[in-house]
Amino acid sequence: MATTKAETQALIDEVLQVYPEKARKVRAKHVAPNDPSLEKSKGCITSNRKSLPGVMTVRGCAYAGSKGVVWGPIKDMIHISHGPVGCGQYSRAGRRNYYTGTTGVDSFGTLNFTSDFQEKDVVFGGDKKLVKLLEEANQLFPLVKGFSVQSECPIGLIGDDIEAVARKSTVDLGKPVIAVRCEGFRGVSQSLGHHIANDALRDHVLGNRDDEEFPTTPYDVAIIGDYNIGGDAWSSRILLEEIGLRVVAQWSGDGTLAEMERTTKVKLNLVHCYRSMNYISRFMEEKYEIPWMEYNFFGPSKTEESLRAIAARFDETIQAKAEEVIARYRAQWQPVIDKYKPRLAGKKVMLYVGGLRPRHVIGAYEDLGMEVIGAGYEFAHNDDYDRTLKDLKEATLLYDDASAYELEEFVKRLKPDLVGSGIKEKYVFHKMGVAFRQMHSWDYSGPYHGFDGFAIFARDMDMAVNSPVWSQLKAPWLADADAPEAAVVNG
Amino acid sequence: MANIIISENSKGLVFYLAKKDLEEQITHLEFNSADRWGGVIELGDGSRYVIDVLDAKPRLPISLRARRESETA
Amino acid sequence: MTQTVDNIRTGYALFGDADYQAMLARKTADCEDAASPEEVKKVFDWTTTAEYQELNFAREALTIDPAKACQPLGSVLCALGFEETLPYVHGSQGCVAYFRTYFNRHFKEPVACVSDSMTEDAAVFGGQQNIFDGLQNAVALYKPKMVAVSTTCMAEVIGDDLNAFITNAKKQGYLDESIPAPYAHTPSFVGSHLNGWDAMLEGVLRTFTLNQMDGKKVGSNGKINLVPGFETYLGNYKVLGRMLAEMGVETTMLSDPSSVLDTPADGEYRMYAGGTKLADVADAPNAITTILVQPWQITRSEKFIRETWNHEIPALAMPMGLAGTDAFLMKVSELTGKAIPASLAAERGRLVDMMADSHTWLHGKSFSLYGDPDFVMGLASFLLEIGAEPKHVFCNNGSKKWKKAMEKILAASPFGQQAEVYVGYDLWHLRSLLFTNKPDFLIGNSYGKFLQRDTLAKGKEFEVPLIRLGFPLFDRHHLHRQTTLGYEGAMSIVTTLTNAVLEKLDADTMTMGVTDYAFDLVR
Repeated sequence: MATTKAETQALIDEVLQVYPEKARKVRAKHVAPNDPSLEKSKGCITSNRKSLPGVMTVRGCAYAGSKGVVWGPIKDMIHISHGPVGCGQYSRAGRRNYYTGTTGVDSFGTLNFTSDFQEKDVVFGGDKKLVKLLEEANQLFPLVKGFSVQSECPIGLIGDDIEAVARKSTVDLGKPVIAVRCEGFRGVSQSLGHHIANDALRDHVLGNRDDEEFPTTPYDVAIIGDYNIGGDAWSSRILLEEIGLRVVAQWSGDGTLAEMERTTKVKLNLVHCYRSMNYISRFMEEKYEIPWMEYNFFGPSKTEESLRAIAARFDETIQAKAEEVIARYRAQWQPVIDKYKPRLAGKKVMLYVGGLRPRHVIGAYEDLGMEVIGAGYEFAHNDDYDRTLKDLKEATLLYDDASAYELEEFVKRLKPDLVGSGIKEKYVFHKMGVAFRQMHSWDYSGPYHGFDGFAIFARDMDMAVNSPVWSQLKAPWLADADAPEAAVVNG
Repeated sequence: MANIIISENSKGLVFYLAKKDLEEQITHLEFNSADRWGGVIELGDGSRYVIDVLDAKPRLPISLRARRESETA
Repeated sequence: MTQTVDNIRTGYALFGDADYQAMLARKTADCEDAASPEEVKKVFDWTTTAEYQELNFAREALTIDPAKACQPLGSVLCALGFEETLPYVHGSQGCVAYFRTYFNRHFKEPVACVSDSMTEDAAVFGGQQNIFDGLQNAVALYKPKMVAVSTTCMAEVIGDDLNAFITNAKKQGYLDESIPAPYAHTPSFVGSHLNGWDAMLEGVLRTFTLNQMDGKKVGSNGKINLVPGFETYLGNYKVLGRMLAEMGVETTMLSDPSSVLDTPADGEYRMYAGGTKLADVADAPNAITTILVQPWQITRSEKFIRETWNHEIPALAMPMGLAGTDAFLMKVSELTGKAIPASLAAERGRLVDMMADSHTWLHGKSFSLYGDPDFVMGLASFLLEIGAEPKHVFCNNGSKKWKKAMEKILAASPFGQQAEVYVGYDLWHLRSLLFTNKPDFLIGNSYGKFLQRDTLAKGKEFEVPLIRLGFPLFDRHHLHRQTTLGYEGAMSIVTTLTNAVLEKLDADTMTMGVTDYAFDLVR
């Protein structure tokens, strides 16, 4: 059933009708029918602008982008949530950034270190407290490799000089202490937090070991922008190693300070989440002449394509191995598709995720015969939409920074078989009887990356779409006699 | 003035303005020789920027300061 | 190459394979600059010592894993409990994303709450325009009967004045005059989520009653008001009303989110469901009195109710356990003149019967517990009633006065003699104590699972199993539906505690041919 752009636009106009005029004008620029013929998304959709007040945006803040996404997974550092108690508490251990190590001894990923600001800290400043707590942390956790200070909102408003504290403590403790100005009010979403976090890594981590003797190989690469959610970076790394590359660093899932410092010596940076880490990749390209390329390890088609593209950057031995690996894994994923595609083919999906996945997972759904009929990002920029338009059909509904209201209305009208979004959206759609998967946390499953991950992805999507739960929403005495649900239940 | 990066791809020079997520192919560069490099930049989307003229072609990519041509220097 | 279509494995089941294990070992050895296993072991062992505990307790500035959250989280829960009310948080938007997520994960329910997305310019110029647009947009989209406004620390630090902003919003037509918009300043650098709950309630009560006291008469509606406080067990909202209904006493629950956090999956999403009727809030001063279910949390509202409504608020502890529930019911009976019916006496008797049945497994067992002040006090009291022994009683957000009261309760019981009470301490402090003075069990929220893991890491005999009671509970399903208050709640707690003891005993005795002579069928 092909939809025209006019039809999609009519649907958009109808849904946006309820907004006050000023807000409607703004939102109208963020919701659009797709035009895959465009090279640049600017003619189609606006993004990376302030969220409207009061509309129930799904977005988070710069702190979430820095502490929650980029810095938090670096496992052998302590990341201080500097400010009041809430931010550190809410972001503790929720993102499933898997890591190995002994937590509380040489790894610290799931702990919450906070300066727990009190009124006096806001009034008199928190710098002294910060100095003291860094000393205490270093004493209690002697194997820690360094510290980051993740600023919460008040820090930037009360005039604290955390950079001075960081410089002094770096000397006093003999370990890097890095101030990150990721106060939650900065910017329009998590996205600025990613950028600020990248800049802090650029200024205080990259280059720290440039003089170190570190044996390199012609096959050294870094995984950039994989947060190892449910082990994604591991099911990616194994493929890269199997084609003969040596992964020197993971940014930043299961990452360590040493790995990140040594990234300046790799031959190629492999960027998975472009949105959150293109900045550091561009910097390394300029300063260290390290080329970077985007890749996509969701679904076998994209994974094969990416493996070939990566191998093409190396010599024939790598290329030959890549072909071997691709051939070998076919035996693994083909039966997965044979089993699940018949159960999922033709099913329609709507996606609303962060800054990468709405485009990266399209191929994986298509491998299963599913169709993405609506897609949007919480905090993407133009360049993300540039990369998205051509992967979606003409007139596909696009929504940027969608409000809770819009998502609900779009889903009601487009009636997808599956919605992939986050925890804040999940239960709304459960109530509505729409199959749902969390596409941030993999709904506590995963990994989804690589060939091993794809098998799980396929299983999970089938589990969601074909769960018997969705056919039992109506009480039998309330269901219409001719309703299909009733037929299924009774049949 | 804004921070930009100029890099090279298979089609030629690429202009990247991070603040605006603007990544465009450079269609024309005023001076593009070994001893004179820079000046007015024309982009695929029609916009025009100006960078300082360097007396040698730099190693790419390179971060530079650029202004829109309409802005006064 | 490890997945097969008939056995698709996730997470640790996949990564346990030899190829992944080898890969991870290579990563550690070649790339991480990791400390040697011997060194890690040495430091780990050191963290379990009394020496480490001393250092740990000498902390002055660093907080690690505190069992508390910030004020606006509480204000949002309170706001959710009123009829067709949209919680609205003035300040940075990320906070609201966090609050919603936190509640989503606990209740496994949608949580509606808006932010007015203040950014740098609002930090400079103030957030008035944000609140204007925010209220207008929120009402247009979500059509609430009431908007309940609280603040993030950003708005508090720059000193935004909610009263002035909301008044101006109404004057300038951004918010219809007919829509009540109670507000509360909820700085996250003061107190905890409990204070935010209290502040939001006071804001609601103020809005509906401060200037409407003419004609109000204490006792004229014959009801009892109940203030639940920051309560995350859905069953607790129901059990209090049920007990009082059995007494023939009508109640007004002042904030009841138990419906909106428990809506059916039937094809329709209900953003609003149930909740305290706004008319009932307006009528609340006419009640006989107001009972604070969690009195240690409620200060501002208590003052307001006492001073404005002229209610004599009875001194009661949280009705958790036997004596707590007894006192609660007897007080209600005294206040209303209604007798406690046989049905409740029988229910009490059933609880005592269960305690008699199970006391053999709980008597003398030691429990460390942590959480919010009323919960901890109620639970510790109940442990004493059944002959169990509280060991470490932790409450980060308790006051010194609370500590004294808690210590008094413990001192009065032979089973409380070994207990130590800690206020203002965090779970990393508690970790030390679990090693140096091991309890049999730990009671707390899901974060306690990390403490269980840490104690197990020292050796099986050091493991302190976690019993999940509290908030948040992220890693077990549907526990939030339970009841912990009243006799019914105590039954549930006895069941939970006893079976945790028996689970542990089974685990300890099921080694074939070694301990399984004691793997008894009948316990």
